[in-house]
Amino acid sequence: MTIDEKTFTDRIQSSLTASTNEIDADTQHRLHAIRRQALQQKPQKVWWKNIVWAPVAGVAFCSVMAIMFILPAQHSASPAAVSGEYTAMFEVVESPDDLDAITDPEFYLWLDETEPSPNKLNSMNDATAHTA
Amino acid sequence: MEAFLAEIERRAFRIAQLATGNRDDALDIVQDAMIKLVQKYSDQPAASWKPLFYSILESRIMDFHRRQSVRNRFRSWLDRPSDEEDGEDLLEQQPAEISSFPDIQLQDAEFMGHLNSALSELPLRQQQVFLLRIWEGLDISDTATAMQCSESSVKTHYSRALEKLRIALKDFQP
Repeated sequence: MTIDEKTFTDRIQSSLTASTNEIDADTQHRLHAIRRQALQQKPQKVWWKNIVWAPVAGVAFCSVMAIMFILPAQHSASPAAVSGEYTAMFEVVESPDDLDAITDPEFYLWLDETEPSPNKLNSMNDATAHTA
Repeated sequence: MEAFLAEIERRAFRIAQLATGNRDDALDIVQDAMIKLVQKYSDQPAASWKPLFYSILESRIMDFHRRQSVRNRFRSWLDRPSDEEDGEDLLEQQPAEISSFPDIQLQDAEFMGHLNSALSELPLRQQQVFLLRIWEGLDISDTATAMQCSESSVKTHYSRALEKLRIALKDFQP
């Protein structure tokens, strides 16, 4: 920057700066109000600034899903037991004699008589205790 | 933040006024820029506030001129000489003339008047680069950030603006 250029730009700068002192009172008042209004604004949180927590949240979510779905499945009936129940059902369905027995109401009456009721079981337990 | 805004508000207003030629539009632009700075960048280091603020201000000024351009095209298409909606004269949208700054009463009023006129006649990018470099004291890098252009563009705009101002104000040079 030459001396002439520096002098020239300095003059422009001082003239522009002087012009700000000549701003009318109404405009100054409005600028003051604008500044007050701007300062009352709350800073906005940008969502992507919190993206650092995404991996942590993802791991926590996967852990909860694992606890909810995998652990109960481990405690449920084993596949062998389930397949055994299905085998018995198929055997009943396949055998016409057993099917007749299941559909006969007398079969259930006989089952009721042969299976001990809870009251019967209690009295039997008491009798066993006395004899002992 | 308050001290920063208080320090720059008048210069920002003048820069916006020179760019728009209208006091109310300039105030709206300054308001938008201040609010966005506080909302988005108040947690940034104070040293970065100035380039960020002027980047927002420049963006708002460009938006203003784009809207004006579309509006003027639409008006000319409708072949209506004046805007009946807001009652503004088309002349009010033109770059500011000396008489648009009645509040400026300087010692060297004649120079100031010619300077305002010369600045208003500069292309917008040249005008803004020149004001940011000369008046705001931003370096080339910060000016490029504020103007969202390359440093070489800043140098080109600045030298062209300086040359045009030299010609326009040749009677006032030593």
